[in-house]
Amino acid sequence: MKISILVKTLVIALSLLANTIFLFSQELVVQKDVTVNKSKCPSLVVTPLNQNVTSSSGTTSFNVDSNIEWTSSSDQKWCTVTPSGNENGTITATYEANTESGSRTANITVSGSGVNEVVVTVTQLGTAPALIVTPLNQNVTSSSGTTDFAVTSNVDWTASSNVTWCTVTPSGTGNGIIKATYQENTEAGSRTANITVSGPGVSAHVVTVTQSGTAPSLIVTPSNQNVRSLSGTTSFTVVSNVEWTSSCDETWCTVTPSGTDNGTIIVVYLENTGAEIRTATITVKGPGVSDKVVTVTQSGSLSLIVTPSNRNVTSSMGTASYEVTSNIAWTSSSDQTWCTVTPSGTGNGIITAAYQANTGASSRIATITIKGSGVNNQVVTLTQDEFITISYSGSPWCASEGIQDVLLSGSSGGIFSSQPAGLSLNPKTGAITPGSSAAGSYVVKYTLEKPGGSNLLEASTDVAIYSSVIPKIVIKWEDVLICSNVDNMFVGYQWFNGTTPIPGANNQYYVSSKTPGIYAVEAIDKNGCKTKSNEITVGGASSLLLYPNPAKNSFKISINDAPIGKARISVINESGKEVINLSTEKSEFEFSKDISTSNLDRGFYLVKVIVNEVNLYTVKIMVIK
Amino acid sequence: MRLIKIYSKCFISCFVFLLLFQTNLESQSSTDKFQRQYPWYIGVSGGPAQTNISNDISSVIPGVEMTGKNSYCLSVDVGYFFSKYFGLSTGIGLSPYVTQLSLDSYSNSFDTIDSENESYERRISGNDIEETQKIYFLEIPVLLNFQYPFCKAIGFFVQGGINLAIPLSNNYSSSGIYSYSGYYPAYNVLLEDIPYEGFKSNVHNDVSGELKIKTVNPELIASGGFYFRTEKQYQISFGFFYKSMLSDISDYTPVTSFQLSTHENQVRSFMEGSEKASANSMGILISMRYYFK
Repeated sequence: MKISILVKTLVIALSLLANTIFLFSQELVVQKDVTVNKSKCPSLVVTPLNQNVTSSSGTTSFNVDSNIEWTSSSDQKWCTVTPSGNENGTITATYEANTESGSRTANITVSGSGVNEVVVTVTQLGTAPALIVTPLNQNVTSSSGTTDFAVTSNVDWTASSNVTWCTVTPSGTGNGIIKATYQENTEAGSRTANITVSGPGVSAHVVTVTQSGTAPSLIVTPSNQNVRSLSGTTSFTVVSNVEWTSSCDETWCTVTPSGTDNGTIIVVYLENTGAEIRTATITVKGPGVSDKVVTVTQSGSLSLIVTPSNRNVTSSMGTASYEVTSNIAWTSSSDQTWCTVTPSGTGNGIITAAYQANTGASSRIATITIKGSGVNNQVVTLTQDEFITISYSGSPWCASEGIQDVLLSGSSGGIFSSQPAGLSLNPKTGAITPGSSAAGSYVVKYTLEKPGGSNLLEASTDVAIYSSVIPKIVIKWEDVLICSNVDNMFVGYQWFNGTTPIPGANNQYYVSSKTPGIYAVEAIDKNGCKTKSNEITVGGASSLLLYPNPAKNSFKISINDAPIGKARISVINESGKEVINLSTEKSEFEFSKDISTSNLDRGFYLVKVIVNEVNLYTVKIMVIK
Repeated sequence: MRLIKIYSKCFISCFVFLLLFQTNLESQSSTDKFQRQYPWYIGVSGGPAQTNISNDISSVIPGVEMTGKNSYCLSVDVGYFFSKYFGLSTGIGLSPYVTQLSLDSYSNSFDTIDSENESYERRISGNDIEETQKIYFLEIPVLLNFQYPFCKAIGFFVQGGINLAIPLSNNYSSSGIYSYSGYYPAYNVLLEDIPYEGFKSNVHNDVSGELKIKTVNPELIASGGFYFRTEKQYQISFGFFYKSMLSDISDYTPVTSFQLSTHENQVRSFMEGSEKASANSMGILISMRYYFK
């Protein structure tokens, strides 16, 4: 145990020794610094400026921070001080008891060579109740923190703050300290808290805590803007927390006159027609901040500007112009033979580019270079659209023809449209379906919007759809099929029995000879369009044939039909009177009978043949004489 | 008509001329004596002739060519000379008139209805069409005779007057190749070669029929020549004659639309479609007379 205590004591002793050595070395450094300072500037600082003391006798002291010799003296007999010193030291003030009711003050003057005198005071309370709070004001930064007030009193006292951001030690007795705790001030302006200290028999003392606000700032960037000689605008960025104003010192420059907090200063400048560079100074001012100065530097002469940078033109031949803004002589040239340009000029002018028609299916570009002495070459381009054409083969078309594809020369991806309405047109592919289209003439247009949307290429062509007439066929004498052609629309025919074309049946009518079948005709109109007619069914040789008709001397009855048996032939005149009545035998499929007209007058007759009293055949006949 | 006027003027001129010279003629006493002794005569005459029946059809069917045919004439007459130079005669005769009409091509159409009572236009075309018309006229003449004796045996004569021509036989025969078709405007189609409807092609029609001729037709007749007296009372003469109908001999009712043929084996005469028909003949006249008291 003894050994342990001994070791601990040793450790503590070593620690104290190390600290002492460390402090000693620091003292050396300070002394070294002081030495440097002494040679430069004499100083004399005495603190505190006042010492409150009670009415009883006693001493108090003041610290002297100096690098020179100094002397001190008191202006009151009841207070005596250390008469002199050298460099840092202490002034001890000895005061006698104050028997008066009121307080009294002794001024202690400290002086030295090359420095101003410093006066500090000793305030001694009287025997009456007293309350002194010092200092009267404490200035603090915008950050949160604490500050102290000294209370010299011989009574109980209380303290209170009139703001919430500052709180204080609520009370005390006799001499003491009032600690004021304050929050951060985020406002730009300063603020003050009143602290009232009161006690019995004494008047209340008010001291203040003055807290500074956030520091005002005003930053304008960039410091300079370089602009071209042409008129225009430029801007500066303002970062601030105060109201500010701006002004330009040149008449060719106007600025946004004012703003608050962050903002932008827009500078409008006129064209610099001179050859020299010129600068305008813009001054930005704000309260609590220093003026900020930025500049606008505008270039001067030797400019060569050509606009626009590109011209889009159609495939047709023509001209395009470029505007030259310059104050020098310039020359221009094109890299394409199909595009020629104004060879040269001076100052402002127009470059006219004459271009030939582009008959190719691709667009093309000519590069125009404008040169001037002392300036960079300017390059503009002329973009000429490709030559777009559309066409269809075989138009006009018959409605029976198939889908017709477009022949497109040029870029695809456009839209097809037609006028007037009625044409069955695929807007994407341009394919036309004649069968779904109304007859008529149309204009098909192809529209292609070039990338960039500057040009709209168009091509158009005429097409037509023939009107189709459906042929109509009728049958006469249950044998002869006739295709009506009243309007002379048809120029060719092909008769069909079912789906089979009948060889050689190419007339407007076809004698079926009562061959059973479903007949139709495919008629070819004047336009070469083929259209099939309605169908007529011929049931076979089930009817009566009379010939010749009209008959002069006789006519023949012919039946080519299945029923066999007794046949009764009856001829009835126009009055409905039966003038001939014959009975015969129909023993075969084919039957014929000659009938004399010798007993018949001129006129029409109805001939009836009844076979087996079931099958009735009737036909009219005309008898002539 | 123009020829008739010319002949009439000639006849009248000759007649006046002969009257003026009658005094001189009267001096030939021997002839005069003979004529007073034998004023009557009876005779026969005849001879070959070129006949022509004129059908005025050009306005109806253009292109019809008419060709006169050879024929003849025969007559028996009786006359009376009431002077040495002048006399009257009448008689009866027979004159066949024959002519041939030809037409290279023919086409026509008319609206009619078929056996189904449907209207259509019947179209007929023909070619190589020939028609022969033959009319036998019985003629009754009334003539004025003039004769001028050069001497006792030879003289000059002229006759002129009117014939009443009565047809005895009047026929025509026609042949040709025809095609019949039907045009239906309702369908604008021309149907051909449908026999049972009468639409036939290249039908050879050979048809004969009777002409309709007026019962009595006035006819101008004129003749002239020389006579020779072989015996005292016999005379033979040679001369020329010309006859021409003075009016339309056709008895057809005018039709507004004449169809030469409408159907197979049915062909009408050109005369039926003619506006007017006439006939004339011209030939050699040989006659023999016997004079008596």
